[in-house]
Amino acid sequence: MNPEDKIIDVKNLWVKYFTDGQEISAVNGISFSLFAGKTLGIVGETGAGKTTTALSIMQLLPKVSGKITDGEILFNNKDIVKASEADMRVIRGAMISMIFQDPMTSLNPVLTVGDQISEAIKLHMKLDKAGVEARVDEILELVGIPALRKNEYPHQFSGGMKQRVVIAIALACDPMLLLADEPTTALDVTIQSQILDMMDDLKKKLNTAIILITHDLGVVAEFCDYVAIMYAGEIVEMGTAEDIYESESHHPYTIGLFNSIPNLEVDTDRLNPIDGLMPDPAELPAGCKFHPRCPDCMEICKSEIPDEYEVSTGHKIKCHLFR
Amino acid sequence: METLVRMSNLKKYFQTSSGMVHAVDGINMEIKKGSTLGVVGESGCGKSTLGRLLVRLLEPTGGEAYFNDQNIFALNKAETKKFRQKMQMIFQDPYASLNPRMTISQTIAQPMKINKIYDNNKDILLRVEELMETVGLAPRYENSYPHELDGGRRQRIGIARALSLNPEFIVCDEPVSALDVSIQAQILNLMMDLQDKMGLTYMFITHNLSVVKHISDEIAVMYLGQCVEKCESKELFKNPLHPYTQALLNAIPTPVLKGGRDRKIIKGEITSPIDPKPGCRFAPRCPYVQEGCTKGEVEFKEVSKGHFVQCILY
Repeated sequence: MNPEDKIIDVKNLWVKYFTDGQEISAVNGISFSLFAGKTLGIVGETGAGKTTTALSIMQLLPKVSGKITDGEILFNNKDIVKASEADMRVIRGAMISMIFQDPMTSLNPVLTVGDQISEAIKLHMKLDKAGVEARVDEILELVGIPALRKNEYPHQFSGGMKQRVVIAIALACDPMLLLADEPTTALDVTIQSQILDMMDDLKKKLNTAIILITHDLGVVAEFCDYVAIMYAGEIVEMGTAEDIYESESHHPYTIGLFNSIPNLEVDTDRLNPIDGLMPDPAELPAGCKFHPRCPDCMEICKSEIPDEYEVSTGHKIKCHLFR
Repeated sequence: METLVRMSNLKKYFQTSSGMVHAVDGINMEIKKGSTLGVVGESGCGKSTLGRLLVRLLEPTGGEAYFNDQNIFALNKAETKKFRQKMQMIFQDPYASLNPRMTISQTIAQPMKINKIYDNNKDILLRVEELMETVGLAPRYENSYPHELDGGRRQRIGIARALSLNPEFIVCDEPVSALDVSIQAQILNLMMDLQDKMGLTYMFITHNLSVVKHISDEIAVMYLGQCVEKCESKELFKNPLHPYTQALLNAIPTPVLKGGRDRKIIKGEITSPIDPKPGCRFAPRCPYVQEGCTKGEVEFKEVSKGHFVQCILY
């Protein structure tokens, strides 16, 4: 694959929030890229900067407080950090779209689901009235909802069905890049399974690039080609799914994350969680940001920020252990 | 081991404008002293209602629940108050279950004040300090308010409050589902340590099967107000019998690469708990559905020692 074929190429992105005289470093110099038809999973705990990354790509950071302070986001080889709001309106919803976390609150309760899906279609696709209706029907059938239900309101749908509607809105204009922010977290496991299956089918059918944001390592294992582990606004480890799940070398945080999940296949008496808590993003520790919680902390970790080391082709780990 | 809690045909219906919601519909179960019963099921299956019935936060529509052979629904108000000292609850949401205007030490002390356990404030404060140490909260948080703390620490406060009256039985309603995985593991370890130390009995309500496997001795699987399968934790994961249990286990994503998604997933969604049809409630989604499934009530029977299942296949 040519490097020019990259759908998205994020280079050294820094995002800060400015509130109450405090400066909060939410995303600290992350880089990743993605080709069409591939899926990247971004994994991390609350406050790791996952959602901020997605909002930066959508250019939907809060206007007053959030700011991209450095870096580039190349979408189809064009830097969208510098794009005007008018340009972004053409891209957003049509070429890049987003599935939000909570299907219960991301739909408008007073509009029918058909109206909500047709909004993006009317804005971005030059279709006549009948054409819009036909597209709404088509996209609803695609996500497994009978087209007859388009005149119903969100409260008449169950949680899983609402999430399908949210996905239908995101897919309405055949986006090249889909950002899915915890799309199944609010759903029961059997429904989650159905939604993931559907997204997998759509990915194959439409060749969409997907960035899946989640804290569930199980979902990532089933769904993603590439994985990035985020901690305190940094990508601490990145590679293919095989690199993350099956190779020997890992960032200590990745190991800690895996040890925190009760394993269904192995019997353990006690879990080995990571000690301590996520650092306050307003006062990040010096050196490696994980060092206060790291079981393998060395002197150098407390003062020097580690470089990214490539342990095998494409498998990068940001840790002094791999010097 | 002796039985601490016993439920006999326990029922709770809620009247709504569109009909009777059968939230809990005829549960027969026992919890042994010092053990953990995990209750799993998807949203709306009645697991929280069951937990609330057991601490008598709700009055049942029918049936009985016994605690140490005492029917808890036969007690009067004063007796209930006394009895609740032995039965406590840890709530799901550590953000909503703490009073934002009370400090940590006030929150933990409140049950002791209400039940007049100690005569003077000094003893209460000593006990609060002891409890905070037990659950791993630094003493400096004593005068903090809940909004100053993160979710994991807040849930520790909830646990300390539940422990303050030295209970024998704690109903834990999704105590870790609002927490991040690394914090979740810390809380699970704490709860297991406390059980070892104090001989506590837990009823652990959750939708997360990997968590329930980790902490439970026995597991009950609920579907639409009924218990469809109950057995030892290991047995359930090795040999799940009910089609719903099998589907549920099959749907959990495991953090192991298997080369893409290859799952048999069950179609459809949980049907309405309002005035359910007779027969097996899982029948509309069941891949093995037969004619007999919807004929009449299906028996909850013991198919091997300690392994109960409600399905006509067995």
